Amino acid sequence: MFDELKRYVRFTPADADALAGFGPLAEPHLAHVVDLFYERIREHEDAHAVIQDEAQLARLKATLVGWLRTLCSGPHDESYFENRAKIGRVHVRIGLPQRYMPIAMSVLRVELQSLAATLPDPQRNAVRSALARILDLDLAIMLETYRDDFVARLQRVERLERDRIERALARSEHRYVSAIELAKVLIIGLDADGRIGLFNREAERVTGLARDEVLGQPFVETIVPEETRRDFAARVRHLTDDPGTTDQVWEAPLITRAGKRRTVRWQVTYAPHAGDEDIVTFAVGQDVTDSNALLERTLRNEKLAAVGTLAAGLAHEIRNPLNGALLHVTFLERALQRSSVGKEAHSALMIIGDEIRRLSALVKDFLVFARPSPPQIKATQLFELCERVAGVLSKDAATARVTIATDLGTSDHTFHVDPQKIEQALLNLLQNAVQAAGSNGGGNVTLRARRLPREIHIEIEDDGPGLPSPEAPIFDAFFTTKPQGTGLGLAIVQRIASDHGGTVEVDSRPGKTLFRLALPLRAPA
Amino acid sequence: MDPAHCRIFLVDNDVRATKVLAQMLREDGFDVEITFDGATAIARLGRDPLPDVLITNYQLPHVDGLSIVRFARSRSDRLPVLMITGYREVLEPAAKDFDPPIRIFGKPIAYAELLHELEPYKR
Repeated sequence: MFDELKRYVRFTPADADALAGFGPLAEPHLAHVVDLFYERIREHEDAHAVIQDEAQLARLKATLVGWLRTLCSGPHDESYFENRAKIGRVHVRIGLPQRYMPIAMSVLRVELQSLAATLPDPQRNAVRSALARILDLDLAIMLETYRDDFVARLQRVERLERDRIERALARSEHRYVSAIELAKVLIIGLDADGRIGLFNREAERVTGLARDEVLGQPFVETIVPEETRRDFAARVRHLTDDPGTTDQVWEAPLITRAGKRRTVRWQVTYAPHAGDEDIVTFAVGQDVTDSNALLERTLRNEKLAAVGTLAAGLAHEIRNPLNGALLHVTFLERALQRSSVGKEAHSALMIIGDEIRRLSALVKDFLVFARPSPPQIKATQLFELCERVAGVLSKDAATARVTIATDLGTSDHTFHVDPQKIEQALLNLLQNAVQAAGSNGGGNVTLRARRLPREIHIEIEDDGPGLPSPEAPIFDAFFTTKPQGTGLGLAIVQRIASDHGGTVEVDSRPGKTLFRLALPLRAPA
Repeated sequence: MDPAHCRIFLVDNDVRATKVLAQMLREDGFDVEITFDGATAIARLGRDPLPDVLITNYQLPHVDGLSIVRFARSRSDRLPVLMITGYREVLEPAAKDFDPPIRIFGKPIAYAELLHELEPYKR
């Protein structure tokens, strides 16, 4: 590079000779030139700041004298170039601003040129041109070190910037991954053939399928139950075929690994991207099975409440005519007993009495069912409650030749419920069990209670014939299999259970029917 | 009126049911006096002789059954009281603080049970 510069500046061996001749002439003046130079330097604050003390200044001056000496003496070879570059780098390192280089150089230039001006012609002209060229060269080389430093700094800045961008990208990717993985919605990405390319954690949780099992599998066949596949596929196809529609929302069942069905509200969006062939469609789904059930329950309760208000008034008013009717029946019964009318008339009257009492029981159950009072939660002893219920039905059980056994475990528990309502629920269940067990001329009923970590389970088991069919809507109001039943007993049980934040379940087969009332240890007030 | 008999004061606005109930009670050996509204009942209870047992409906014209009971107890604090009602769910909590307690019969009343309850007051 030095050679190239020499060529460019046209520094010739003749110039070197001229300088070599000038050297001894200039030598006695060099110290003075250097002093002048540093005087000028120190006039400027920034430049002055670079000089720390006098000892350093003396060193710097000696270096500059050496520099001026070699400027003239040469040799102007590769090592000369190295030496100038080194001095340049020192300036860079100590933080001397680049703009001072040409200015400082011009101080030297002026002094050296005025020395050369004293030479006789033609040596004077040769030395002046040689000086101009060599000083330009030196300046060029030292400025080059600034350029090198600038490039190095630029590269460092670029590297830092690249690192920062890479880190930002990694962070951003991590955020997107987290957002997708932590979202409580199913996020499934599909390629153009409808194969799964993205399957988030919630999708795994709801379907029970692991990511590595489903990646690359056809979405519709893997997750959608058979009967809705055509519809589902058609909707997805409609999205990809018709550029006018970008997304669609609909509810559809999905089938889990265990074969269970969940209802999912899907929002399917066709979003192809030039750089991503793997995923062109996003299916975002929310499992609405539970919220749908809740909504249904809420609607049913609201309907019941509305019907209940109306019906409760009616039910109360029915009791007055029932009272009149029953008193008159009683009166007639007594009159008939005294007279000699036949047995038939008497039994007809008995039937009227029974029917009135049945109507009265229906009104009572209906009021409990349709207008339940809010639960009065209080600390309740489990053993006492169970034993009281078993006691109430002991007479009925004996009549039906049914044995009621209690299995309450070894230690009593306190739980927080409305004891009257729970007693009512247990009475209904136990009464059903006694009737079921007694329907074959006698049997066994077991009342069992267990404490679980956060619940109390009370089970009532009988060895009767079991439910007529597992699909029978036994918890629905007015569903009954008994000629004398009101069809409200189990509906009341279920209502009481859910009012306590609990559940009632049944498991029935011929010879063993088990109702389980699961109640939280502390019912919500 | 035979002074040896237990005197029942029966208050209910259902005229026909009250009449037949009174008739049966008479057949079973009680003296029964009936009235069909709350105001008349209070007026009657302001006079002597007081009945041995008060049987009253809860919902009545003018004055409700509980007010009648309070008035009657103010005149005779141990007076036995039976109440009959179609609103048992409402009445039970409202009537729980009386001493001696009030025996409540939900409509339709079972005559045999009512009779059994009255047995101790027969003289």
